[in-house]
Formats: sequence, structure tokens, C-alpha cells
Amino acid sequence: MRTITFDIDRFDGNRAWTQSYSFEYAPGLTVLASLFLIKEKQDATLNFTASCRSAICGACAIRVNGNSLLPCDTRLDDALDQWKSDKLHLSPIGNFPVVSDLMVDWSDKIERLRRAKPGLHARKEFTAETGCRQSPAELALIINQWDCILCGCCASECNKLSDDSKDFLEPFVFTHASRYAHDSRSADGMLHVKDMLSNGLWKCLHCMECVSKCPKGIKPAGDIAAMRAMAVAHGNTDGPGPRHAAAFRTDLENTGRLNEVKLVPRTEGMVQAATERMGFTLRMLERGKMSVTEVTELYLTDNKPIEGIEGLRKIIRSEGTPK
Amino acid sequence: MSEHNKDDDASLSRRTFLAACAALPVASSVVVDPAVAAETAAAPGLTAAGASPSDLLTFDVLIIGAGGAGLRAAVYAMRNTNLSVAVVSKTMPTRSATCMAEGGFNGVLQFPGQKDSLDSHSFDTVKGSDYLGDQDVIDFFVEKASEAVRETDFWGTPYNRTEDGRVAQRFMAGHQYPRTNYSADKTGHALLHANFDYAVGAGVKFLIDHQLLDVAIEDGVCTGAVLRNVHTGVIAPVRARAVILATGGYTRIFWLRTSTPYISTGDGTAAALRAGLPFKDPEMIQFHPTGVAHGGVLITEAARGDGGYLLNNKGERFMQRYAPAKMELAPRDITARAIETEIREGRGFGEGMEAYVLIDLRHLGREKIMARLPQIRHVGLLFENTDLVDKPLAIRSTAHYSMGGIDVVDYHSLATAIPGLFAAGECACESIHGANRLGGNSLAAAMVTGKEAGIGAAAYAAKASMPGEATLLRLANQWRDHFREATSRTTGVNFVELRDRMAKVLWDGMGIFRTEKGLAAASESLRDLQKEYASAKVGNPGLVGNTAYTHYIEVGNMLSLARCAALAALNRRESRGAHTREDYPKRDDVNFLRHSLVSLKGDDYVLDYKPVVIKRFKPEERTY
Repeated sequence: MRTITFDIDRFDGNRAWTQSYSFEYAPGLTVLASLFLIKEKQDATLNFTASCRSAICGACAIRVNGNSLLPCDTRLDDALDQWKSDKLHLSPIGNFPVVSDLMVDWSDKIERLRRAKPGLHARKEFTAETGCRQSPAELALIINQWDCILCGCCASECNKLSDDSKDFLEPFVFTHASRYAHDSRSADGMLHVKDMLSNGLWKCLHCMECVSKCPKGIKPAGDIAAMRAMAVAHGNTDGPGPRHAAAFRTDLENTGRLNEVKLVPRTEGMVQAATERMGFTLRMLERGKMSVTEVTELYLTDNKPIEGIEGLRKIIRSEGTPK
Repeated sequence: MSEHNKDDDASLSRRTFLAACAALPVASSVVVDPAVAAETAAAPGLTAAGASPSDLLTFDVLIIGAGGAGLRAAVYAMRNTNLSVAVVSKTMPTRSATCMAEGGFNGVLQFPGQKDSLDSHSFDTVKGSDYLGDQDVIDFFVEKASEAVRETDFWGTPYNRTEDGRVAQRFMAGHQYPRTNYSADKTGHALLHANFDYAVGAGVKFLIDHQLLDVAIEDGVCTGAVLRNVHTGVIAPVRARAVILATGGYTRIFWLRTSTPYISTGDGTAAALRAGLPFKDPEMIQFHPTGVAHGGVLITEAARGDGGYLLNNKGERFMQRYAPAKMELAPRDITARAIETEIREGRGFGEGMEAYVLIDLRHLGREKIMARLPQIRHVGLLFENTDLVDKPLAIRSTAHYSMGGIDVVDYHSLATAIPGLFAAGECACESIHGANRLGGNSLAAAMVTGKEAGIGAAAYAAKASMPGEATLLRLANQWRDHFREATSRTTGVNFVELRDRMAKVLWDGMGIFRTEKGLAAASESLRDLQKEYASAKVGNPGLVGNTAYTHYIEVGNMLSLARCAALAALNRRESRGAHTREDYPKRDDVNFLRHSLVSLKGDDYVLDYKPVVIKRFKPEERTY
């Protein structure tokens, strides 16, 4: 008999522990079906949430071996094969308050979702009585973002959120703002972007965990980038975020290479860079990461343009102002 | 686990306090969840219609259920009013059955050059209902459905579009014209999230993970509801001038033989029944012919539409026996009956609830399957470990929709016979769908009835006086006692076994084929199951996040609703729509062109009838 073991992180409101459950292997189970087997045959005190069991309601998201996924949409065989083990570690999704075991609390997440000002605020020519007009091409710009099922996998894996959630929002909140900001039916896309600017739009760490973990193939990091572009196009060019982006662009356009020495002062301003980054700079010099001559040269002149820089410039300029 | 502990530092004292409260013998004091109280204290307009005379948590309009209907109701209860409104949801709001709807949302848009009309949608709905739908309601419904399509577009629903920018429409079975507005093959998901977003943007307050235990009635008037906070275990009365039940259908009575989510357990319908309201047409449950054998998830009609074969254990395309002209493209009810007949006559695979026939797509070829039916292939892999490219898939009919529900007496406001109590969406029976719902009419009904219930309940609440609290307090105490007693049982059968037995009893006796004998036996078995249920083991005595107790209550609700359905089915000695009596194969308009009404009198289930509203469409034979 082949035995499968789930080590499940338990929490009863007071005490946290990890409990092992074993069951006989059967082909064709999903991870969610395995959880029901345990709850109904072994331990009724195990708590988790599930509703549609077909990857459209988002209720059942958990972490398996540290990776957020939908257990209803994950075959046990595939999980065992992926980890080359008959033992899996199950935990609640991260960056959520845990209620009990694998069950998390969404209450505060909904409050944070309100900052995206969800819901269409339609252009003047449209009314509730007549509806709207939108071309298939315009719909195509936002339809991927509408696949969001609010499962929380993106928030679970978000490194920025784990570090500090006070000045950042869950990736799905950005995706929600983006789908209205870029909707051709919207009167003013910036209505949804403005609050994102004050809630960490430029603080995404670009780790792309939200993109790689979304079970619906949505790219919240891409939505963040698109809203940054929209914000810049609307004149929101001040602050370290926009300046950092502009510095990147300038370097790439000029030489095709990043000038790391100039990047920091351009992003943070000379005074802040000189005062707050000096220790770091000196340590880099001391450890031989950079030489004084290299630094001086880069600061006074620049990198030499790479071979084929004209081609790169063409690419950059053809991108123009993002939508 | 550091993150858990961090979180727990703040709530430890609260949880300890609550545990202590719940353990106390509660005389007259009321435990109000502090989290709930804090949440709602910040809600604007909480005391808009008069200050609360006691500490009881109070709303002007309390909506139970956060699917399509509940969300629409919330937006409209708040619109142009200063009423305090809260939406109660057993789960996070977007987990409802609405999100699983695929096909679309019926509403005539009358673009220039279109032949379709409201009258035509009305007729198709009446005919589809096998003339058990109320025609005044249906006329109202189709007009409002048309409005709702445009309004939900205006709210942001990402409908598919025609080249000139209008909402795209598709054909669905039983309709004369393409009038099903859609968003790819996930219309319900798109519509639910558009409504959820709109409600969130409009400032609707939610009580998440709160389970409805009962609605309270005092002096004939609804006074609120008793809720259980699943997070903390606290059972608290919530007073409300008006309550809207929008809790969805009850097809989970067939447990694993339904396409609907785990949470479609008819909680609101059961609470309304206990509150004294009739359960209308409970026997009318729609079956979809093709769901996966294990778990009932829908294999959409596209599989047959694109040329899939249905095969029995002899490898025969058995539809030639039942619909030689249309074969696999025969209507849903004929196909469902054919599949069950094959299984019953020994030409299926497997046994009992595990029995099945096959759907074979192999002749379509890998390319076509991957391009046109990727979702169906995925479902096959997930639930049956079968790749449709290489092998046929095990399928069987699956319960899909509850036409029956809480008896609504005023379709304009969705009011029930109890002042202050309203019902909308799948849990309500107005009746739009009669004995059989047409594809695309369920989302439409949720959108229309949700909105009208919101308006109706708000108008009522604005004039209603502050409800009494005695019944609420008494019911809350009863439920606290119940929680303690039920969760502390150490003997008795595991209640999930009762649930599985209920499903089998119903599938065998009240499934696609029904007979006098089978229904009588099912009724008898349900009575026995109810007895066992009363002393069954829950298995979790904890307060925090106790999902076992949540499910125990759901199973009790379903047993009660199943008894209503079996009683009405036993006495409806005809075949109409989804209700197929082998012993009475013809529709009988002389005796049964009327609605069944099952009520609870003490412990007895009592059957009554009320007439169907017939207007301009006279009943005729329903053929397509």
C-alpha cells in the first residue's frame, strides 16, 4: 500500500502546530478531494474553505510546500510528481490573517480593495438605460484582468506585502484598479490610478511572484507597470519611482547600459544619495565591488554606447508612450 | 507559524473572552461579537431610521447571501436611501453559484433590425416552464431583464461585443432568437465580479463568514436574523427592519451528483420554512444530462454540440434508441433520461452512485479537442484522471438548478407573506421558471429579482418601526444551546454519512425518474435520516472556524428541504418539465396546473396548492 502524508499547519485560535495525516494513495484525486477525505474520514476539526471545486470561485487557495495554488485545480499525482515525494506540507496562504488551519480572513482585504474604486464610472455618453459601446479590441485590453477570482494567491506570494503591507496593496487590488483604468468605457481612468499612486504603485519589487503564482494567468505586476505608465502620461513624474524609471530609460537610450553610479542620485536626488547612500558606496569600494577610478569615470562621462545602439534606440522610441 | 502568532497576539484576549462568553449559561445577556460591533459602528447611517434602544446590532436592511441577487439587492437597498445595509455571507462573497454560470444572461436588447421581442422572450419562458411559470411575473421579468443587461454593462460587466460595439448575443436551447448576452464561457463569473466590484465601490458592508441560523418572526413580522460568526463561533441576533434572503438553491441535496458549489444547501429556504413560509414547487429540480461521474462538475453542452458520442458498456451510441434523429443533440431532459435508462437497465458502468456512461470525443482528434474544448478536457483530467484525447470520459446526469423556492407573494417587491421578509435569486420562487428553467434565465432572474428586492425591502424598511427583540434573543439562546449540545456529542453516526445516504436515497427515489413507490420510500428514509441526524456526531467542539458545525447545520437544512420536495413530488401525479413520473407520464393540466406549497406545522410537512397565473399564453403541449 502506498501511503500519502499531508503535514498540515494547524491553528485553533490559540495554539499553532503541524499535524500529520496519512491516507492510502488513490489515482485521480485532487489535492482538495484529499483534504475532504481527511476531514470526513479522519478529523472533523480540520478547517479549510472550498466552494466550486472547479477553479472559478477562488475559495480554496492554500500553500503546498510553500507554493500558493488552488487545491481543487491541482491533481495529487501532479503535486507528488512535482515534489518527488509522497509527503506534502500544506499551509494557509500567506499575508492573510489566519482564522483556523487553512482558513483565512478576507474582511480587511475587501476594505483594501475599496481603494481601487472598483466599479465602472462610465463616460457621459453612456447611461444605465442604454448601456455602453465597446469594440472587441477595446474589450481585449482588459479581459485578462477580469479572470481574477480573488483567490489570494498573488497576495500570498507578494514579497513587498510580506515586508510591509502599510504602504502597498495586494496585487489583485492593482489588477482591479487596472481593469477599470484601461476600460474604454471609463470616463476617467486616472480615477482608479490616483489612489494606487498613494498606495505603493511605485513600490512593487518586481519579483514577479504574483505573475508566476496566479492560477488564472493574470499579470498583476504588468498591471502595476501599465498604471505607472498611465500616471506618468498624466504628469505624475515627480518622486523616486518615476525618476528611477526615467533614469533607466535615459541610460538605455544613451548607451544601452545602466549607469549605476548615476542611477541612485537621479532617482533619489543628489543630497539624499550623498547622505544616505555614502556608507553603502564606501563599503562597495572597500570590498572591491567597484574601483574609485571606475566610479569617477562613470560619474563624469558615461558608459560607451553598446554595439547596435541605434537599433535599441529605435525599439525604445517605437514603444512611445505606453497605453 | 510566526505570522499566525503575530496575528494572534492581538486577538488572543478577544478569543479567550468570547470562548468564556459562549461557555456561560446565557440567561438574558446577548453576546455581540465585538469585531462585528466595531465594524458596524463605523458604518454610516447605522441609526438612520432611529436609534437602537438596546445594544443589539441593528440594520435597516439585512441581506443574507452575497451572490448575484444579494449584491444587486444591497446596491439598490442603499441607493437614494440613508438606510444602514449589510450583506451577510457564509463565505467570502464571490464564492457563490453565480460565478459558475457559463452560458449567459438572457435579455432582449431590441437592436435595430432584430426580430426578437419581449413578448417572444416571455413566450419562450412560459413554454420552457411547461406552463407552470406565472405569466404576469414572467412579463415583468423579461422587461426588467432587458434593462438589467444594459445596466450591468454600465456597471462594468465585460460582455463580449459585436464589431459595432454592442453586447454580443448567442443562441441557447429553447429560445427562438439569440438573446443570451455573454462573456466568453464565464458569464456568471464576469457578472458576479462586476456586481461585487460595484457593491464594494458603493460602500456596501459585508459580514463575511457569517452563517444564517434562523430568521426571527415576532407578532407576524420579521425582526431580523440569528447569525453565527464562523471565525469566532459567536452566535448573535441581528435585528433588522427588513431581511432579504438570497441564499441560492438546494441542489446539494444530491450532494456529489450536482453541478453546484458545496455551499448550495438551501439555508435561507430552510430558515424561511421554519419561520412559517411555504416552500413553493420544491419538487422542481433541473437535471443537466452531463456531469463528471465523480463530483458532478458540468461537462457543457459544447461537448455534444461539437460532435461527442454518448456510449454504453456495449460501445453503442445509445441515443439512437431515444432520439434517432437528433442523437446526442437531443434536448437536456431526453438525454438525461436516456443516460439513466441505460444505467438502470445494466448497460452502464459501475454501481450505485458510482455508475456512469461514457462520452467519447476521440474521433474529433487531438487538434479539435485542444482548440475547441480545452476546458472540458481539463475537467476530465482533474476529476476522472481521463484525457479525452485518448479515452472516453465517465459521465452521468447531475442536478443543476432549483426552480422551487421561498414563496414570493409580490413579484414587484419580492415580498413574502411575512412583512419584512423578502426573497430573491435561486432561493426565491416568484415563479419565473415553473417546472423547467431555460438556459440563460438564471442569471437574468438573479439580476432582476435582486434589484427589485433591494428596492422593495428599502421602501418597507424606511417606514417600518423598530422591531422587537424577544424572539431574536430566544432564538439566539436556543442556537447557543444547540451548538453546545451538538458539538459535545461523543457518540452517534458521523453526520456526513447521513448526508451521503440522503444523496443516494434522493437520487434513487427522486432523481430523473420518479414513481409512487420510489418517492414513498424516499420520504420514509428521509424521516429516518432526520431522526438519526438529531443525535449524530459533529466531531468538532471548537468555537474558532468550526466548519464541521457549519456543515452539520447545512445537512439538517437539506434533510428538511428534501422532505418537502419528496412530499410534493409524491403528490404531483403527472409529468411536467423536470418532474418525470414514470407512473404518470403525461402532463395533467386538469389536476396539476398549480403550484405545490409545502409548509412546516410543528414537525409535520403539510402540502397545499395555489393556482398558476395564466394570461395570454394558453397551455399547449410542449414540443420543440
